Amino acid sequence: MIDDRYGAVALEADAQAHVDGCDACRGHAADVERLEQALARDADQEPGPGFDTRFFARLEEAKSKGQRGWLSRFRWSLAGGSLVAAAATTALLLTINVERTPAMAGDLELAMHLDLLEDYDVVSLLEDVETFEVLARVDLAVLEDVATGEKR
Amino acid sequence: MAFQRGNEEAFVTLYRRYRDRIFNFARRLLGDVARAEEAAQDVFLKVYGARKSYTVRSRFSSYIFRIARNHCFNIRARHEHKLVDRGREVERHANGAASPEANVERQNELEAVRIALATLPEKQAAAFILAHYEGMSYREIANALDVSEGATKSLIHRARDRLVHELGKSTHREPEVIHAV
Repeated sequence: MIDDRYGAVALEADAQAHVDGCDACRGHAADVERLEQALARDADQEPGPGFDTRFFARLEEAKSKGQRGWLSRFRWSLAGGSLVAAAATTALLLTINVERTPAMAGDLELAMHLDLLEDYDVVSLLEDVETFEVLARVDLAVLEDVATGEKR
Repeated sequence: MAFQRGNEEAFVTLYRRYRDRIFNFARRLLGDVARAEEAAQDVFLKVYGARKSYTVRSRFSSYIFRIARNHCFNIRARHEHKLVDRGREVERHANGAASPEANVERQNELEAVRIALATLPEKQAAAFILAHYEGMSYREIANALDVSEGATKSLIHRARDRLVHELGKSTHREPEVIHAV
């Protein structure tokens, strides 16, 4: 009856008589015709002014970002390699069992008391402290007394 | 393709050839000019960005409309409530409109169809627009929408039925007051 191919309401000639005498079909054909007319009024438009300018500006921005992205990836690959190497070296050193010499023991003790060095006021009051090794052996309680001017 | 090898002129040619088609496809699918402009630009940026991965398995038109469809569907998913609200607003206006002036009625019909298109189920809307406005074949539409040709026919048929229904709802009303939509 009504051709299902979209684009036209093609009534076959031999069906026209039926449509003319059938309210339902005639009503449907009229509805479809009205739809066709409404759709036809929705003609293609051009994008607004400045569309091309905005687009090519965005394209240039995307291109430059892409290049920066490439450089960034390159830098990160270099940095990443260095970081991996440094981490591997650190891990190797930490896992190797080396006999501790007295000097190394002093360094370790110093390392364990590094938090003391962060308090520069305390350090400045210690006139007789010349080396970190001495500092590392100082009892924390003594340091606090010196800082507050009290004597034990 | 030439533009895959970095030929900028080839890309510009494609852009010029498809600019209005993609924009109008997005406009009808989204029911919003400003959003359609943004979406159309996004589509071309995606095409440019993906130029090296494009493989010639189907026509370029199917390829670019597939990108446009996906992008517009994502936008619709984000703004669905706004489209529905706008549809209700138009329906309210149409309820009270139907001026004796024929041009007002035609404008109402046009707006009703636009809203109906923009609020159809996504694939129905895309299939209908590609068939009606782009004149694409069932096969091309099927490629663009990743569905079978049989499903394409069904989508178009259901879309048309629904548009007829929506148009009927918005136009078969008693005239009362004129509202500009």
